[in-house]
Amino acid sequence: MRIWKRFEWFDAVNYTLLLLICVIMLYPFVNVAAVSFSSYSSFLENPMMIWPKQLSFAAYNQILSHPVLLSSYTNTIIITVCGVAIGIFLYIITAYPLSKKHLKGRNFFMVIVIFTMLFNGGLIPNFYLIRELGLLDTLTALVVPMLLSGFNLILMKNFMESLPEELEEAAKMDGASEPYLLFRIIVPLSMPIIATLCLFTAVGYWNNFFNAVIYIRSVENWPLMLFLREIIEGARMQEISGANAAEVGKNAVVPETLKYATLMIVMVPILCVYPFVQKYFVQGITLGSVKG
Amino acid sequence: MKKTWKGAFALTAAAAMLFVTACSGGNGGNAGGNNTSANSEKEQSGSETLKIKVMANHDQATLSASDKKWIEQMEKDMGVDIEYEIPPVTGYQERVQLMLASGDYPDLVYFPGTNDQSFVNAVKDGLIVPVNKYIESAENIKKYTYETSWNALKVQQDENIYGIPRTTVIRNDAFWFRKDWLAKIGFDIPADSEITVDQFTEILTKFTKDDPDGNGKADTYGLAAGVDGNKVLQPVLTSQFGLLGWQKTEGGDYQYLDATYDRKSDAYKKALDYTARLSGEGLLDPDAAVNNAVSARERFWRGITGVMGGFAGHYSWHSTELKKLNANADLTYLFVKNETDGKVAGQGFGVGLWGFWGITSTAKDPQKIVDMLEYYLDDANYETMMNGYEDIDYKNENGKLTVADNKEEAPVRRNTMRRAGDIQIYFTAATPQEEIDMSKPWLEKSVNTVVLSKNLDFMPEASKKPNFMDYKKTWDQTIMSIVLGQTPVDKFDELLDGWYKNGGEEYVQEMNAFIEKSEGASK
Repeated sequence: MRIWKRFEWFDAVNYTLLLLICVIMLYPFVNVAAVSFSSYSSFLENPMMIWPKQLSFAAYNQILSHPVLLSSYTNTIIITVCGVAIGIFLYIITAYPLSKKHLKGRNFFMVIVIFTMLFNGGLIPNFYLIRELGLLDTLTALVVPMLLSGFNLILMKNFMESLPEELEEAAKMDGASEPYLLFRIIVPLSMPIIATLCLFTAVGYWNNFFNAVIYIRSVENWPLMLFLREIIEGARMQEISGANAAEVGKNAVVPETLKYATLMIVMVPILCVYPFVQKYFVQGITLGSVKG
Repeated sequence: MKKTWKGAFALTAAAAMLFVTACSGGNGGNAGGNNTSANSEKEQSGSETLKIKVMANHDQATLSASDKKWIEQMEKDMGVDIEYEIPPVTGYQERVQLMLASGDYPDLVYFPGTNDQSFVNAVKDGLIVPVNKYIESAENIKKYTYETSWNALKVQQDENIYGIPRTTVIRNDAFWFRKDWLAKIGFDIPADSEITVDQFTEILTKFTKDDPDGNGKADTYGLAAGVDGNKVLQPVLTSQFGLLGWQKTEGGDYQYLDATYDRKSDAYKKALDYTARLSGEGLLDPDAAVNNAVSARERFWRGITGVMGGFAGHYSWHSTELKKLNANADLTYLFVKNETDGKVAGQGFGVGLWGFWGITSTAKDPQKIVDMLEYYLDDANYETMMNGYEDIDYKNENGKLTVADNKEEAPVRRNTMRRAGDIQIYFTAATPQEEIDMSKPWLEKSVNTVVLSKNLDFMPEASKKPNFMDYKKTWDQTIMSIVLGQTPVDKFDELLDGWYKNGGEEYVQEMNAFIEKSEGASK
């Protein structure tokens, strides 16, 4: 009985703590949603609201009619879909041979992979590279540099190493070729790690803005996150860093409701991806990281 | 399972094809140039037309209809083809650094300030050329540029000028006051818009304690305040205690000194003490230590605070925002007089530079580029430059000008060049006459009462040394602590001694040498 009571107390504290953490995590999202559907005057009255006041879609109307939103949205979808599809394909065909212990020079290739996790060329050499490849101001420049991450590759390799060798041996005895083995046996078994990496890379592509700052010149090629950053931070950055007050244009300062509506439009699609891959997510990470 | 994987491969293949198609189309082939030339569709009739590539920093990267029309007009009048590259505001600095490193230079580049490291390096490397000989024929640029701006652009300490100023008005900013709150506390607004420090304090006190919004709650505060770019809350009033930047001293160790660093002057201590007192009495926004300029302004709009420092030309902006929450809210603009002589005088923002344009060493025809900037200031174009075009920027309804429907900002037209001292730029053709009549005296006073600091934004080399930079953190922390009333004001003496020991001495000497030179040159 005493043990039961102790557990009850422990659970109560646990639940309270978890609930508190949930509230802390959810509050900013709820606040952003509430403000985005409220009038600007009600935001000024109560910026910390959790429920819309004076329900208004004005901010959404305004942001959805912005000329750059559609093109940047399209660009981000193209970048994300292409980046994920090509990236996952590359992870599979790179990780599979590296997972074979009998591969000659495996350690050498692994050192090369790990080297890229520790060192890189830096901003200007990368810029030179992209320029010399003729990729400046193209969406390719936003996809290719992020296609293969050493960390993700190691996760995938470790996962494939953890698969029972007997399965491969059985397939080989039945006459399966290496590509058949990879795509018909290994890949279906690797769904947890593939789903996990899909999520990682999709979020990475979706959220990336810095490559666009560096490599993209035309507004038509801006990704969504760069557009969002301009909306949220544009005038604010100048002002906070001590800009000339006389030249802070009132039109350059974007109302908070508009910023929050933009945030919602940008956040919601990528949030929707999580439920679909969640069942694979934890399994993928743990399985991939156990065996080294 | 077979179908699933066929589908997966089909998706990958489709994505790859989409990727190839998307990336090679559109502007993909335009890697070296830009999308924003207003004349991009114009057929190039030959190689005679000079192409001027401009790298600019504006609030929006797309060209509005008004901007396009302005550029087309300029191209036609000058016989040039102008190509704009407007990087994202949030990444301009990185893009300039990359541009300078890449060797692929535009003809004209905007730099935010003379201390910008990219600019300093570019000048040292010879990538930015002096403009002296090109401005000789640019009568309007010479006429409408502050002398201080030219001096500030002599960054190599010689006669060479390394840029064409984008001029801004040099002025002494004062404070916005809630006019409706002033009426409520029974304060009569003086006709000359000038009040004393004591009156300023009295207003802040009553705004905090006398429930000026009449809601029966003690939820208002006197002054809107926030931290600066270094996260430091600076003294609220400075010039009122004699702090006017770098000025000639009356004897002493140095010929020129900022009173902040003058061991014999208590001006800065008075300014610190005053702000600490306001803070201690709760007359400052209680969130002042965490506010920035944007959040401090929002709290003013929300009616939490009743006084806010700001530019005199922003009446319609602030009053429009205030009225969204309170239709009866109104504003007035007041100057706080100097404590010693009872006059209004204040240090101006910068040296009249709102950034500037640098001409690169690869520019084919620098004279034509200067002529292009001259075009903005020419009498024949200036009115259009300020007001824009009928039916695009404003509409004329029986002689009454109003803002056009769907009017867009036109930063290329309006924010490329300015005339020194011209306050008219802060109004448009559609600004109501009543607002102009009300704001103009405030703007004129802010321009007429400005005192120029002699340092011309010069940054001595001593300020880049590690000990000086390290001590800056101590300085900032101590000032913040004093202003918030957590450290006694007398601690400042010790702080100042430390500053002199940590590179301050060298800083002051270098600054004196610079000012002596620039003062000699301007004579």
